[in-house]
Amino acid sequence: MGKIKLCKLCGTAATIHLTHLVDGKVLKLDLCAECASSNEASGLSPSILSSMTAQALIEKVKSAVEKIECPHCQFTLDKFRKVGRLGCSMCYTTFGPILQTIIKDTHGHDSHQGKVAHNAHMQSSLVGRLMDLENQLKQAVEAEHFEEAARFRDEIRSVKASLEMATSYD
Amino acid sequence: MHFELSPMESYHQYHIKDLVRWESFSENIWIKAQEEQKPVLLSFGYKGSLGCEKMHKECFQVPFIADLMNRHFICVLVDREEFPILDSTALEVSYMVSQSSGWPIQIFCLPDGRPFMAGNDFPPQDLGDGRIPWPQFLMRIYNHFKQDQKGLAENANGIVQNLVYFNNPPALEEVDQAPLAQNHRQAIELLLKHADQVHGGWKGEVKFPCAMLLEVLDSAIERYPDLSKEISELFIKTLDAMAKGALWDEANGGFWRYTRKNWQDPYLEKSAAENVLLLRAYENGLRRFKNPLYFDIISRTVEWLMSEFNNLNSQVSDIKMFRTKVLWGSTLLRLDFLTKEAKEGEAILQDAIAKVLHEGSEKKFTLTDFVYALEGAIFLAEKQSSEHLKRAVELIFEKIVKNFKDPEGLGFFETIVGNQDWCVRRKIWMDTTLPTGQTLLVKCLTSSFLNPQYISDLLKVYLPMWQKIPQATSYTLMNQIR
Repeated sequence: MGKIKLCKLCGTAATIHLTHLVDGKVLKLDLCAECASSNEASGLSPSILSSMTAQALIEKVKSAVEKIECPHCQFTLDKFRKVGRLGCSMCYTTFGPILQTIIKDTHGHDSHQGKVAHNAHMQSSLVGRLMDLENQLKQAVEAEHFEEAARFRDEIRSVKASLEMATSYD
Repeated sequence: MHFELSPMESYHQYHIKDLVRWESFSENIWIKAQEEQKPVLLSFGYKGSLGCEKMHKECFQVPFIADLMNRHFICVLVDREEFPILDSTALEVSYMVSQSSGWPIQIFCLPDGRPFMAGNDFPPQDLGDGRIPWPQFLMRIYNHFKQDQKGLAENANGIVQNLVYFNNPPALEEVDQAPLAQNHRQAIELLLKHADQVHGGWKGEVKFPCAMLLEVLDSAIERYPDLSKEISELFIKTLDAMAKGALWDEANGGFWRYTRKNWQDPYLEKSAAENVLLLRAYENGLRRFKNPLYFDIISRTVEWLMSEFNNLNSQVSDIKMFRTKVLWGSTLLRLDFLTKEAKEGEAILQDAIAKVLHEGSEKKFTLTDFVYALEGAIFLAEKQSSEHLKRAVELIFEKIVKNFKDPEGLGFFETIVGNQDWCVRRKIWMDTTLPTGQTLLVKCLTSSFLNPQYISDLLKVYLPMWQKIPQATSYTLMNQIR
């Protein structure tokens, strides 16, 4: 197996390998899919690009991204645009960084930054607490520590009551 | 919905809308019947029973039917909870005559008290289901009474002879240790053979809670290592089926009396005493199999019972509640790991012990009442290692022998002379859904506090029963038998 080439911008494994002829010289550039699809490619420093023009590089990168294929089902971005969904489970890995960029471009962020219902937070934490308590109750029963089990039982009831209340506000 | 801890009003007050002139049960009814030369109808039921209520509404509140009854019969309404021994005799008679049982039970007697005919629920008119309408049945009985009292007396004699026979079933001459052990094992194997290995419980679509049998099986696990796997599997399957099926009241906690179809379709009545016994079965299951589900079931059943007992606290002294309260007292003490009310259990037992020792000669207490108190006293004496309580155990047992032992035959009568007397002074050998005095007495007599000499007398009768119907002898099979 050949040596893994790293992205010139972020240092992760590169999936796009560009070869460009500029003024008779062969220039090679390795990029990961994320960096290649982002606009950061246009800010490549002159030292890296040498005599390569930024615009030419961007075009080249875009074209390379379009050619990315899922190694498992040969799905492409073009197909994704047409059908609106991915081809197989490996597509999520292959196109993940690109999809993240698309989400970021569309929403301005790639993670939720807005409001979350207070109840949702509370419910989630209560469910977690309930699971913990049920586990503790099980262990107490197994150890025949029934007084302790009775305490966990009472707490479980109280958490269940809170959970019911939180759910009823939805 | 029926709870054993029923409202304060009496069974008669409860049926105040009936147009039948109901008498209360007493010796006077036979005097009245003989004076008026009328047959006596004993109608047995209990508050909240759906079948009983239906017949009261459809028949006993209908003017022309009530008129027939009032004119031709001495009509006596009997609360099965107030007169459990009469009720048990009625059940025997009903089964003898019609091969069916269940409430309501209608027993027709000659004026001297001998029963000659029985039935259960009747419709007011012909419904095309093969049952004779109640008014028609009444007229047939009355006409027979008028025209053929001799024939009815023959019927009655047959029934009474059978009741006497049930008092003294076939017994062994002697009980030796080796056959005892062998018979015991065979009885456990027979219990397993009759078990429903697929659904849990015992064979048949109608499933009862079977708390006592689960206790017996639990006690057999260590005794028979080669059967322990089969017993454990049945034990778990049954506890799970009861807890997860429709026998369990998910809304309020506690178990219904039975289900009609493999743990589905429950009969919506609850008995406090049966629930108390189920707590014991689940406690055994919890300690043995450490399943949190059983812990939850115990907790919620205790809570249901607590609320029931608290709601009707003023009825605690009621004789009807005596057995249930004593069972509850012992069980609360056993569950002291779970509930803060364990102390209350001790108080209940102390109270019960005092009652049977000081008021025990009164006719109201039966053998079963005494033996339930005896079991509670043994439990308390063992738990507290108390000499005083040990002496109380001995005193209670002395009273049992004095008041109930049959001086001429094997076993113990269920009543003190003069209590609930009706045709035959009964000995009750087999359990219903609760342990009867004699089966529980066998278990109590295995206590080191008591002289075991009476066990062998009882086992002379029980051993033959083990080979045929071990499920009806429950606690006699507990493994401490010496």
